[in-house]
Amino acid sequence: MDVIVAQFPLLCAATWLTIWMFVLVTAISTLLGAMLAVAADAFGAPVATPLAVYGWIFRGTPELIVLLACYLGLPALGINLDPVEAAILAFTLIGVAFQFEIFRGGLAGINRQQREAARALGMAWNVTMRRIVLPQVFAIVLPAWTTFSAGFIKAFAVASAISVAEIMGVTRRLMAISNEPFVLIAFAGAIYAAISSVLMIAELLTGRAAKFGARPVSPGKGGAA
Amino acid sequence: MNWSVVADNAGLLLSATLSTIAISITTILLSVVLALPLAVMRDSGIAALRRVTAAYSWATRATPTLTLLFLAYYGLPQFGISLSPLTAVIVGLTVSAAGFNMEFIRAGLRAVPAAQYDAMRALGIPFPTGLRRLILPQAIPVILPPLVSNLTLLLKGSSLASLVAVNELTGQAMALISFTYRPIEILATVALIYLALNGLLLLVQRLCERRFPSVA
Repeated sequence: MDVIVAQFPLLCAATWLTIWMFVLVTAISTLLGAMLAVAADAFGAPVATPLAVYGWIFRGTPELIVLLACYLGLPALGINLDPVEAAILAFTLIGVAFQFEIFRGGLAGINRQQREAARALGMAWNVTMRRIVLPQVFAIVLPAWTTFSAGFIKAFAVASAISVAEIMGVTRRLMAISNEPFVLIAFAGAIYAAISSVLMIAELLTGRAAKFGARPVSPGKGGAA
Repeated sequence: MNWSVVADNAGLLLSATLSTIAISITTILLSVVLALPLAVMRDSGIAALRRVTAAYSWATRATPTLTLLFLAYYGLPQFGISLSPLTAVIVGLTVSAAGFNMEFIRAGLRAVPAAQYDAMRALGIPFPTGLRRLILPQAIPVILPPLVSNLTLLLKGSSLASLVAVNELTGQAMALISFTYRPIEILATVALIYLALNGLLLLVQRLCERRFPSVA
């Protein structure tokens, strides 16, 4: 317990680092993923196929491997990144792969006839996208986007492996000067749990809102909540 | 590029791949075995059991797997429980995966119409027998798809074992990088192996879908 009290400012700084890395990565990867999904939708196979391969690679490889590639692999090509930069790059690469998939699904969920109708009415492609398609896409992807984000924050703990001073990274350092490792790690877990709980509550809310329209009959065991 | 580092260490990479597969399969089996009673307790008539299992589900889903793994490896010795790295990895990954799996199993159990539970009770069939012979066979088609599609996460999660000095695929990759200084060749090879293993899981998923066509 003493370590947590004495090193509280350090843990606060680590929490802050985790949060801003997560927010930055989420913002960039959502934007890029959405743009790439629109591009794949507009240009078809020549753009969609390489993106599908990209997505398959970065969604299927462990985060740790991507992190190591950015931190140890890029210097071999003459690109040197500090740990935080390498972590941001790695998580953005992974995030874009998932966001692309989420937005691709959202775009696929919109009836193509709507676009044909917009074109028949003389609406330009960019206007159709902005006024007709994207507002619906955002509504469709919201639950999946929130679910992904609630899980993604936890992946950032792996950044400690390349000595990023985020929550788990600082915890690993403090373990060296503490004789209560269990308490220390449990405290780190509690910080993550607090952050991801906020996202999990958002997930519940958006999921419920999305289901509200066409709620399937729940055959559940009555009563039991 | 100098791919001979991969060829020279093919044996090491192969045995590391086998460890990754072994860790993943052990975790899958143990986590399902642990998740089933948790799922049943989560909807049981006893409030205390419901609350404890709800807390377990929340805690394990809200905490990074790495944290749970570190709790098992670095945390437990504080109470005099020292686990070997491999045991700690399996405990950490299993505890984490059970949190997700119990939710899938619970959703499957709830998808069985309530009348079946009532009928079971009316016929005096004991709950364990009913669960095994009546409820589970109906719940499995609902449980399997999300369970199997989540296995990729478990496979990727096994890479965390490298951080407590287990020489599975990622651990072996780190070791090889540190004495060959060939990060790109080694990481590319290891990434390809993970992708190939994912391909295998996809195959398992297809088989499950064919064996248990979706009821939804």
